[in-house]
Amino acid sequence: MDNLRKKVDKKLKEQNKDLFESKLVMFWNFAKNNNNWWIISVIVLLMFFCLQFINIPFLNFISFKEDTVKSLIENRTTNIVTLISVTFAVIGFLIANLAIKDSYTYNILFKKSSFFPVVFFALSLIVAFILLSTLKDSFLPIYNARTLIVGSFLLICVIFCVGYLFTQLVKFTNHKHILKLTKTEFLKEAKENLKIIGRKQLSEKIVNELGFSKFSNFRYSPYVKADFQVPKGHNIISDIKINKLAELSSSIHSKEEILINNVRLYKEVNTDDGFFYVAPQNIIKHKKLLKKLNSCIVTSDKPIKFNFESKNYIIQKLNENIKINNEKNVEAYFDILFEAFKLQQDFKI
Amino acid sequence: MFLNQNNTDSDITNGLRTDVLKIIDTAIRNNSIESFYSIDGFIVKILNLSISNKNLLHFRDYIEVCVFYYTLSYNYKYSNSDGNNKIFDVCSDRSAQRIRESFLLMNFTYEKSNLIDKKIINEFKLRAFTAFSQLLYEQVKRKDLKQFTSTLNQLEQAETFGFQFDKYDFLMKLYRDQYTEDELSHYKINLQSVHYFQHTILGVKYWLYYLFENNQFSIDEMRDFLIPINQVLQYNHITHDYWEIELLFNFLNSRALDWYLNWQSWDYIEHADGKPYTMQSPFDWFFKGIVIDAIQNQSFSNNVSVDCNQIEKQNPNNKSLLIHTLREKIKSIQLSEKWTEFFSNNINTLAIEKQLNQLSASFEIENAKSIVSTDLIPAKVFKFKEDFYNAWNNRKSLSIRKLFEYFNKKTPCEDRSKELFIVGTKLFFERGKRLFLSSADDVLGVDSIAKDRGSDLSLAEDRLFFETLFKNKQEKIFDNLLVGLDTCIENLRTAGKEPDAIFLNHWDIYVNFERENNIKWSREKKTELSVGTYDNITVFEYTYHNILQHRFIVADFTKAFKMLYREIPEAFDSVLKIDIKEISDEMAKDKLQKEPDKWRNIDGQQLSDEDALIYIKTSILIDYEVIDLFEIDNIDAFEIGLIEK
Repeated sequence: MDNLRKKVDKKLKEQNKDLFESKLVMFWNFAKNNNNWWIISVIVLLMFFCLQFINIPFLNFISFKEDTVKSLIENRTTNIVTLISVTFAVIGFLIANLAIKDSYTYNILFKKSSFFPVVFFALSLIVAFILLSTLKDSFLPIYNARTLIVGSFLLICVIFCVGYLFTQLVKFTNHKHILKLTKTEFLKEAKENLKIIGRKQLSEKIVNELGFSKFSNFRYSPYVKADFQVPKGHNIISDIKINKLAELSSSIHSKEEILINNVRLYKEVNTDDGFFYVAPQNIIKHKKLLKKLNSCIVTSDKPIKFNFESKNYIIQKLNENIKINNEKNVEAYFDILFEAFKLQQDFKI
Repeated sequence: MFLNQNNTDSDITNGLRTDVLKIIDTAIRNNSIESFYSIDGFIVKILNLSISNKNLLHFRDYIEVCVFYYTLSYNYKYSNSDGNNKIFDVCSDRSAQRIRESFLLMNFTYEKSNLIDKKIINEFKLRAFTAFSQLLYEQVKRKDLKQFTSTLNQLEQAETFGFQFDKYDFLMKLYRDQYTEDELSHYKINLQSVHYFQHTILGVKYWLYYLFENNQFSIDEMRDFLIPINQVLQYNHITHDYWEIELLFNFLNSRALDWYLNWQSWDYIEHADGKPYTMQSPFDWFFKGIVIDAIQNQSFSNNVSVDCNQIEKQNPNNKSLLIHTLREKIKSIQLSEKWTEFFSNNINTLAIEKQLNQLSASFEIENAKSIVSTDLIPAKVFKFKEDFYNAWNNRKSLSIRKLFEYFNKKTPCEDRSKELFIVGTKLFFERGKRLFLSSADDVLGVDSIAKDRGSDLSLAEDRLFFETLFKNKQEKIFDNLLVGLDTCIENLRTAGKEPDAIFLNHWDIYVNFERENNIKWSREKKTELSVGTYDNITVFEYTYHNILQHRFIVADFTKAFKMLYREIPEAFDSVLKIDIKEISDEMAKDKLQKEPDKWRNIDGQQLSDEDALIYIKTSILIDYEVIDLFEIDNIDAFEIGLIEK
């Protein structure tokens, strides 16, 4: 695929292996994001209603009599609702007793404790049981029985997940654990920022290697961007079709006639900006070429910005701890900050 | 004080230094000593990591933070109501100590490094010395003698490697040419670090002189601060030889002036925002300090004669510029009341002035020897000739030579017996040979010399033409120009001539034709050489030499004049001969005989005949000429008018 960002990421990964997470971790992080709740719900509902069609022999030891199935469905529905009610009460209690109570800690609690996946799992199961309970008279008895078996297994899973969630939440009453998670979050944030830096610098280097002359507003001779406008509302270069650009570049004989205006990933752009410039007398000569060249630059209306949330939190905590002369915490937070220097100095392009 | 120079787009720690400074401020404000130690620990880790990874950017930013330990804590020293200054003591002690401790790892790494890595480590050392330099400046600014002395002690302990380096052993070997190329490279790198140390101490010493001169320090205050400085200088046998002054001058006479040891930012006046002011320059105070020390010692330290080009290639102009600068400083010290008071009304500069004269003379002779032994660069000689020819041939304003070409009245003179005029000269260009050597740069303006001379030669030809006319034809006197012109035109036409050229100066054209909207005047040009027509006769404007002031010439040019020229083989256009010759032994002897006082004396130093001859031979002979003759074919075919009113 003609995509500079992927090419740049590949090169960055070769030089800086620790900068990128494994695909499994990436998926888990995706699932833990509260904006992606529907993924868990879809999976749970699919399993609840469709898993029965897959025969798993070692789980076939449970059997229900047809006349008890309907009453068992009602019971299970009641069971799970009760379980979740109790769970929420306990979670509420644990959250109220966090070692550090501030918005950043709540934020990492929800991010790091698998709170959202477990809650969405449990809530989706409630929905599934309510649906089964409502539709039990419409389904065949055998289907009801099998769904109930799947539901029972899922219920057991929910109980384990809730238990796991409790153990995680209990850890949040420990200050050291929160520090550890702060460090993890800070490192993640720093790595993401480094990726942005790496993408900007490496993409600029790759584009420069194509051999276009550089445009500067301080040139004496006037140069124009020809007939081109950045799409309305777009404010950043999100990607570059690098293979196409390289192909066009190698086909240009008089490369000194085409000037490039600092094209790189994540460059902020305005509506009036241009990417390629020519002398006024060459506009007609290069009109088609300029159109093709400009089409290689992909812009977006979603700005990419550095994230300093964790860093700012640490600075805030440092100030607070210095005021109360808590040198142990001060040292701990500085240790976290120091990791950024290590990352930066190990970073290679 | 320090600039935050992190590049936003290249470092994730960008902006963190400002946060750290705010945190240090918070710790000091809250008297939180233990927290301050934690912050300091963080800084140590960054400094060591940066040295290990050779990350100069982080090192520079955070070694500078150590200076803020002192400046920030000083602000709270007297604002603490309970009189508890412990945090200040801790911070200010730690400030110098932290900078000094950074040298441990640097020195350790340095000793194990190859040449390339040593150069890199020296960059780190320079940043650490800059921090020391700034800290000493801040302490002087606050007149904090106690901390100043303590910082000097730390500085003294920092560069242990420097003291192992024997400068004079190095110089003697250099003088005797006993080094291999590799050894020399290593020693030069070692010397660099010794110089940073030396300049850090001398910089603050000479700044103190400057503060005293500008009434910021009393003489007693200055002497108090000089005691620990002189102790360090004497104990460590630190001398600043003349060749080292040359090296520093050459180094500072570049962009390094903006950042070297932060000197350029030092000031003793708080400037109001928005008001323009002139920054103090190290050239003002550092080199004056050198002269003050030299007056006290009655000598610029100059134990071993070293050509600093052996250590680092110098700009050849800087040697004489340095001598000029030092002479200027001597003059200003002699005129200063403060320094008269300091030297108890006895500023004896004779010895150092004599030393400067000797240095200047020996430098001039060394330089002369090098110039004389070097061959001219043919490309530079050709470029000079080409520029000369272009200026002579393509003068922007009217040249008479071009006019004769236009009227097709320029012919070569085949008759060898006919006497023509040689227009040109043999220019003895004193000390001009250097312009034609490889080391010459364009700043010397060799091209403008060629252009001026070429243009002058063309003007000399013009003058010859007009003088020929004025010598052979009586002027007619008129009351005003228009009457005169009309009369002369009428006379020529009556005599059967057809006037085709009028010569006027710019002012007369403007006043009589342009301003008055004369009906016979037209701006239509018959040729690019002309400015218009009067009564349908081409008008040529000629303003040079004021030759045509109150005068005009009307001529049937084709019938009246002729230009003869001698063809010269291998000359430009077979006409213009330009020779650039070195000064021969005979010519040099002749010059010396004619002007012995001039050539045997440089800066009051008497030269031997041998040296004087070498000095003469740094000149060059530029020989250029054209051989022309302007003849009048028909004396009745032109009229010269003189306007009396």
